[in-house]
Amino acid sequence: MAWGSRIASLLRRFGNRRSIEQELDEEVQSYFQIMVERGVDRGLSLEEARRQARVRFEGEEQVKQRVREERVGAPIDSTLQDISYAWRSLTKSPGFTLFAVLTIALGLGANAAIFSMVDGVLIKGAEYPQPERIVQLWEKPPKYERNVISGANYLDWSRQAQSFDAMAAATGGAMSYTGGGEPRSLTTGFVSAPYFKVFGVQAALGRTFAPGEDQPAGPKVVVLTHRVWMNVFGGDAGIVGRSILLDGEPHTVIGVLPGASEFDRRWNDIWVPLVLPPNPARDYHYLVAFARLKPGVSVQQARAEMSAIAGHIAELYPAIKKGWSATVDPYLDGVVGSNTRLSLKVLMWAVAAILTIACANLANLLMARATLREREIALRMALGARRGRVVRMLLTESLMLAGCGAAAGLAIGFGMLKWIQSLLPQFYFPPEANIAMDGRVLLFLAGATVLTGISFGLAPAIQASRRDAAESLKEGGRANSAGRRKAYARHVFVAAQVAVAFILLAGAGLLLRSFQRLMEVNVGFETEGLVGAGLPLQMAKDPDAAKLKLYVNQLLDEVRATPGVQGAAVASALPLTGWGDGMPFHMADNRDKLLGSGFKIVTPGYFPALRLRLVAGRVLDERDTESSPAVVVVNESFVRAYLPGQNALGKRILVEKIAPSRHGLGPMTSWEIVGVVADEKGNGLDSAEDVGAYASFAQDPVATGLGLVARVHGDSGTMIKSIERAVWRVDKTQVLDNPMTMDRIKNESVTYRRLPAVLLGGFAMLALALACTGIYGVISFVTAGRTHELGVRVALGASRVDLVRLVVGGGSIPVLVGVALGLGGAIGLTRFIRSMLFATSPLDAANLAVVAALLLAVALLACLLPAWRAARADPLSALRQA
Amino acid sequence: MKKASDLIQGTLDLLILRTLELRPLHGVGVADRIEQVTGGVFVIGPGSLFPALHRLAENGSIEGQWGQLENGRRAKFYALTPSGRAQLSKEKRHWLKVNTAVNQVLADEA
Repeated sequence: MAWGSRIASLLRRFGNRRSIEQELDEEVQSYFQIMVERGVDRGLSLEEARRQARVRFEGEEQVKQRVREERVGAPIDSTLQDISYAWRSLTKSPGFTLFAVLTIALGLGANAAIFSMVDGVLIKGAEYPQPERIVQLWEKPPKYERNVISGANYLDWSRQAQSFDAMAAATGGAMSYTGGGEPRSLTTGFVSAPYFKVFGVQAALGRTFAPGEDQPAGPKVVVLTHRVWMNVFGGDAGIVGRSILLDGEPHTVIGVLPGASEFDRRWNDIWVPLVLPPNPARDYHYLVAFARLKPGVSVQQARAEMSAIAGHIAELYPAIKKGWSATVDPYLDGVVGSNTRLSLKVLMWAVAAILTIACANLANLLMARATLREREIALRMALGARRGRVVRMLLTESLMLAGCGAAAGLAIGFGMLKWIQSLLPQFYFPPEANIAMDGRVLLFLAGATVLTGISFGLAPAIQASRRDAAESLKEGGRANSAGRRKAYARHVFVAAQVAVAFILLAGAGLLLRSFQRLMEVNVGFETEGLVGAGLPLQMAKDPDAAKLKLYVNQLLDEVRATPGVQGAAVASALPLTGWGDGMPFHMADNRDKLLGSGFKIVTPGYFPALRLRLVAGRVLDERDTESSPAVVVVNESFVRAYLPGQNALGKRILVEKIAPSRHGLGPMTSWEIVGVVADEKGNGLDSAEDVGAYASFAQDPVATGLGLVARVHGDSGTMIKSIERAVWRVDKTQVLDNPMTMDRIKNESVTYRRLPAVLLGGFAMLALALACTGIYGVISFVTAGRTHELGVRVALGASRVDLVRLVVGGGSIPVLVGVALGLGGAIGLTRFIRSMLFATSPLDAANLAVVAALLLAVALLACLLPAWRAARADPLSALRQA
Repeated sequence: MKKASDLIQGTLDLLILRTLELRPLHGVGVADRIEQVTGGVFVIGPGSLFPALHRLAENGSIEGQWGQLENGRRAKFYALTPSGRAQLSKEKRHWLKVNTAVNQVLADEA
């Protein structure tokens, strides 16, 4: 048909909508008048003629509306109209709008943040090519599954195994980089040459290690991470081929790894070849190993082959390898620890619960609003709106709310994700985790919310539009009994919200309580005033015992001489970061039974610096030298475990010394126990076992993995600087790695427990707030509808207290039901977080009682406010109003 | 009496176009004329007439123009356009065809 004229009329209409409306009005008026005039001409009175005309007309507004709907641009026109209506009606009740949008936004935001994290850590695969072919190898001691690997075993494995394209061993450490201002320590991955082949990673610049570069006579080469290339070397494009000083020796940079990859999220700053001596120790285990399966070789086949190889080794070296085998794990399975996995899952359920609460809130709000608008809807229909049109209008409103909520939710989610990431210590998640706001997740969540908005906004709208218009108008918004079913639905929502909030609060309460108990754990020494730092030595490669002791003593003397330092020591592991070494040993008087203990090597100043309490005998001191008898100090746990009820002093234990390189064992030595000290929480606050022994650095010096501790007086930041300067006075290339206060070390050691506790706590509070606003909203709404009734009650002699009791009583039933359901749910569900708890039972009665009390109190407050407002209203005006 | 809403939409359009073929008329004129000619079988109220008139005006079959009645009242007069005339003859043919077909079926049944 005549498209040109259609488009022209469309444009014309949008151009001058007002004059077109005026013309339509005039035309309808003229029609009406002509009909009246014809009536008068037929001899009717003016009144009668008008009446008949009106009857014929079926409503002027309806006629005009039908004309509008016939027009070409009607759909666009009415959509624009819907949007402007929705906008006007939403801005007319800013409280409702703000509330609804905030509810959606918080629910969506929390979900977007957590789901993005879950997606990044648990779902999105690693970016390595064919990651399912990567495996991790372990030695399998007789009594357990996984142990790190000795150098000799790794060499045998890598030479004999046929299942793999490539196998590589790795160990960690640090190297001092000098030549760029202050010396700095770079975390170093020492890896066999095929390491990058195992992971299928190419250098972004230059190359990775070539075969043979990990041999004793190989060249000194280094591969940089993108991170270090940017931060330390300023992204120098000519870096490949340049020589840099590491541990005082020139190393040639051969490549830079890709940026924004797993390797930028790894601990290591630089990578150098792991050079094993021609005959490495078979009884000192310190390597991890990875391998890439040949195409078509299954993990089972690799396991079979590795067991055979390990079995053969066990036959050859029965003294140290009897009963040992090998374990082969798919690498990806071990990437995310079970703790992290569980924490993320718990958080995921928590935010899903929050979304449920938010949706229930939204549903409640929209239902209440639709009920309040019954009269408006009736009026609109009386004025010519068709039902479909009214429903569409309400739908537009819901969608607009959901849209604004989703947009705000995106912003909140983004902020929340950034915030959580800022809380995470570096390297908290595995390097394979690539966390970013996830579009798919967001889309799905927004869809879910919009659907909620539609389903709960629309149902009452349709219901309202179906009601007899005249009836609604007559009733004039007075409380009606037809609302009973809707009130019931609302109460169900409140009960559900309370139940869900209860469960979240109970879970959060347990985590917080257990975290509090963890922080109250007695670490066995005074953390306040204690600072610690890593002490990577440049002589670590080829240590000479005498030089090593001399150097360490020089350092300690200079540090101790620093004003403000009250004591200092060097140890093979800093407090709370592990024992350094775990050693198998025998009691001298019972050589059959192999026992195990933490074995820490310390300089004598360690005990006074930490203020470790002496229980019996003496601590290590200057008397213990290279030439004096070998002695150890053990802790109370050691005595409890191996010498219960006996006098430990004078007893002897048989342990090999640790070689100065710390990559092998020295001679078997008989050590006399000369003292017993209180337990130091060596393995961290939550370690159940702290069996440990201390040997003197003078009798068994080691050169790697050392830490420096010092007890200081005054500001720890300033003191750390003074200690650094003292160290540099001895050797200006000596690095103090990551110096910090012991309190901070303590705090960082429990991050994996703090984070879920804090986040779940936050989400539980959010759930509580949302549930409360839900309760408040429903009670307010129900009470507002009962104004008239309450007025009558007051008129009949009810006191204000009676009214408050009445309203609160009505509101408390769903709350009580919710608390009961939540209690049951909490008892049923909290056992799933048992492994996340420390010294706390999932059924902790005090926790449940506190949660119940908190919820009831807050819910009561939410009921009281509207009840009090209703009771305060003047009964006369309440009656008149209705 | 038949209510206009029961008319098939095309039929109402055809009736209006045919009515305007003779001379321009205002709305009441169109309704009266159809009522007269059909002997009161079709009574078309403003609720049906207005949308139909505006629809036809929109697709260019008729054109509205403000004019004056004898008593001086302003009213909108609708007139057939050339394209409306063409449409009318097309619809007439179509109607005759359908009508004949329906009549044949009815005659056959009798």
